[in-house]
Amino acid sequence: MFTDKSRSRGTDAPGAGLSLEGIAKHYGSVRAVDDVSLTIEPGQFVTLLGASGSGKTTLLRVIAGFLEPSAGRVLIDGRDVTAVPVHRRNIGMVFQSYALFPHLSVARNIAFPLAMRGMRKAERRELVTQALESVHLPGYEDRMPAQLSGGQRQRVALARAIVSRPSLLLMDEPLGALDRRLREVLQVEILKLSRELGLTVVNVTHDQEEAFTMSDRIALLADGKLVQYASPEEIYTRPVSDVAAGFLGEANLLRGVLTRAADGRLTLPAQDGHVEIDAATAVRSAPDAGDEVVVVVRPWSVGVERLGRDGAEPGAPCWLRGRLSAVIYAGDSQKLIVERPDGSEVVVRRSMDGQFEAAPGEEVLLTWSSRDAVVTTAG
Amino acid sequence: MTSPETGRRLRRPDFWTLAGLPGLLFVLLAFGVPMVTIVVRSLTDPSPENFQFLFTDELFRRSLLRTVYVALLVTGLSVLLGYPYAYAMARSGPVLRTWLMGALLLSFWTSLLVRTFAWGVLLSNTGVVNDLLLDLGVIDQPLPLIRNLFAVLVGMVHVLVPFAILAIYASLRGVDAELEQAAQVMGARPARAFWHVTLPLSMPGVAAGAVLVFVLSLGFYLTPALLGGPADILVSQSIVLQVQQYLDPGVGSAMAVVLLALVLAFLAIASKVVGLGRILGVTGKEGTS
Amino acid sequence: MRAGLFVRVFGLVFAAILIIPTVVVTATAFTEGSIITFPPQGMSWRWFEEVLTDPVWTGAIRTSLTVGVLAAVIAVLVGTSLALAAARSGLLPSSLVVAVGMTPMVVPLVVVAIGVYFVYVRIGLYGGILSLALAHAVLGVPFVLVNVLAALRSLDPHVEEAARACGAGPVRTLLRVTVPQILPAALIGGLFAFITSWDEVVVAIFLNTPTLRTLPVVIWGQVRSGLEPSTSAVATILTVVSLVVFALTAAISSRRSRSRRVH
Repeated sequence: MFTDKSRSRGTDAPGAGLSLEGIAKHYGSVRAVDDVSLTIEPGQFVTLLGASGSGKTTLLRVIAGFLEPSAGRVLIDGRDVTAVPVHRRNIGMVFQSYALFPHLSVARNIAFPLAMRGMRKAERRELVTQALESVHLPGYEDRMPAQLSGGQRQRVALARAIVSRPSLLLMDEPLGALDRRLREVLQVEILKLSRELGLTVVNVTHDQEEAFTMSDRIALLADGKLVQYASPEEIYTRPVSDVAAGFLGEANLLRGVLTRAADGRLTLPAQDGHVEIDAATAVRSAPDAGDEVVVVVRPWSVGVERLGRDGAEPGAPCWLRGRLSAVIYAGDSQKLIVERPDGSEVVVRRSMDGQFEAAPGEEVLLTWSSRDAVVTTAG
Repeated sequence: MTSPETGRRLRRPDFWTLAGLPGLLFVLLAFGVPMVTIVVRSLTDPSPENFQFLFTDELFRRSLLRTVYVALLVTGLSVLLGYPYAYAMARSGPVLRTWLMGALLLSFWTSLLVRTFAWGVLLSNTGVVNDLLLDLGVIDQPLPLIRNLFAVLVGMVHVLVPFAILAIYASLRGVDAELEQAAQVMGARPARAFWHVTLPLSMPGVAAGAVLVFVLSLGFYLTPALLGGPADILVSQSIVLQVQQYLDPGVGSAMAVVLLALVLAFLAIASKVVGLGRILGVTGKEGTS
Repeated sequence: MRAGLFVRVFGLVFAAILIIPTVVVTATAFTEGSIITFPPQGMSWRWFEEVLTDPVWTGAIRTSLTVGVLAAVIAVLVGTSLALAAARSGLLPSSLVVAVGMTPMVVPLVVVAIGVYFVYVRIGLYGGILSLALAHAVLGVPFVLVNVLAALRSLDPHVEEAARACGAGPVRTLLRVTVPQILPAALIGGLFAFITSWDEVVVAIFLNTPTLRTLPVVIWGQVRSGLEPSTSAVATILTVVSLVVFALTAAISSRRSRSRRVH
């Protein structure tokens, strides 16, 4: 208890640890956040990822202290701060709208948290200069916020959020208002900066690419519930449900009830196709016949070829037939959309150097290895 | 920790409620108390018979009717004269618009007393207008332009027409000029485009301006007192007479209660048609052109 | 679509009628003669000199300025307090707070005047300069409320949240972040409130004593007893002060919109 406290108070302390225990926020009968528990280690970069209305912003506001949870506790470095008001939580925060103080110069914006902590003017100046250098805006002290571009404003906002070395840096869609190029540049800069300073960061976004690039761990939220809390790689390769699979990266979802073939293999019935299951790829318990499952096949794992004229059944363990309905060129890769006889679509990605040439309307055969698919459940 | 939020709210007013308390307290003391005092005095000084007296008093009944009549006339004139002015402002080049807005604001910011005083100078028997007409030989006797209803109407419309103009102008600016063009492209002549597109769409502004002018007219004192004749006094003048000349604050209070009730009742009805925010919002915008 | 020729000519003629009273009063103030004539005879500052050396007029000017400034300051504080509650209180309905603050605008001045007069006589506040300022402040509150409320509603709520996250408590956030942002609007409202007091006659008549006469009250007395060019001169001074205040509000609001436009 005492050691925790001293660590969060020291100015040079790296980021704090954060624990959420059974956080819930209800508005009448609406459960904006529903029983979320997770732990963030000191220095970790965690992204709350979800669609709008998933509760990610509400959760961030509970962590910041702008909202009082209906149930549960927020612990920073083991200390229960649920009842501590925002301004005593020692946090830094970055907003999508930048939220700079329009009546204060850049220097006074950045010095604001220092002034609030009772620091003397001379000391403030030095820290402000350092902070501006760390966000690559040296010499901007005397500008007013209205004179800055969007990217510059967000850099100032970032400098203001980190200048007091908060135990926790919270970011609410910080890059949402910026164009794509600038977003990518700032993603890298924010990540580098937070690593150098050892900050614990909680970032909110609906942009899966941003979540992938920046996060140590991603907390995937849907309808107020925590769907999965894991590293980006794990969520991608072992999504706990179809929701998780659909949110992180493109995915083809094949649904059905497993049956056991005569030779003992598990298969998913498919019209005009054959889908075998590798039990080792199951995310939860070992699957069995009669289980309702979702098989996740990533577009990059699917091979495609022109259908042979003879119409013979292919020997591959996993295959589907369909009609090529669209070929989309996306930079260095090619995206094929294949329409199945039942009307569903399968997406295939392939690099541009392949020899396959096909025109929309042609019948094609899709194949993949059962080891590259993931067996999960509907969430 | 999980105590219901509603219970907590009631026990601990939030910061912003506390911030508003001094303001509320001030208005209640400095404004609410005087209003209540008037009501109390109308009923107790000496008794509620004050009202009985009012309703049997022929003079008061006539001044009440005259007040409403004048207010209606002023409202009608303000809208009729204000609409084309607002239209000229909304649909003209920057030069003409600047001149029109400048004249409007110059007039608006000149004190009501000064403007009324000026109309006295202009309209009196030895005033500018009569002098001019006499010099030109149009008339050989000064026209009775002052101390009558005509002068009151001129003075009141002059003071109140800016409110109508600003309200109508705001709504005309909101009507997309391209809508009119679209109507014309579809074959409507300009007059038809105006009648079927612009006028209906600007009606909220007309209504807001009319309500504001009417309400303000009901309470006018200065202009009728300076420009009107002794025979046709309005309710505000009757109230002042009762309190200052006849030293009968009870009857004066009863009259004030009737006037106040008239104003509030009208506003309550009008607010069903036009949002109060729209009516009163005009006042906050004079400075912006 | 451009307004037709007839409408434009009407606009110009009516614009002339709108400003004629102001022009006439100003012109007659510069006459050399001792009666009000238009056009004025000659051109002289004599009546302005007379007014500015007459202790009755200068006293009234001083009283008017004092009452106006006091009323404006009180109106700014009260109107801002109401606007804060109207915009953000979790307890008081916004429409109720706005109604309370706006009512003084629609109540006839005569009714306000006799009500305040009764109360002041009863509790012994009659005749004080602060008492008159209090009554005038009530009349200025709606202007402050409207302006500040609009400013508050256009603020980015995240700016204040950012201040909280930076370690500022609610009071420091209010004083160092919210108030500076709504200051221009409060100033404009305050200038309106000043002019409301500066021009107000009816309440000032009811509360006037021989030692407490505002400029409009003295003008009122003159206008009723007989017209003199000195009245025109005072009326001109009254108008010039109003126009200066108007220019100030215009300057503040254009500065505000300019700083917003830069993006």
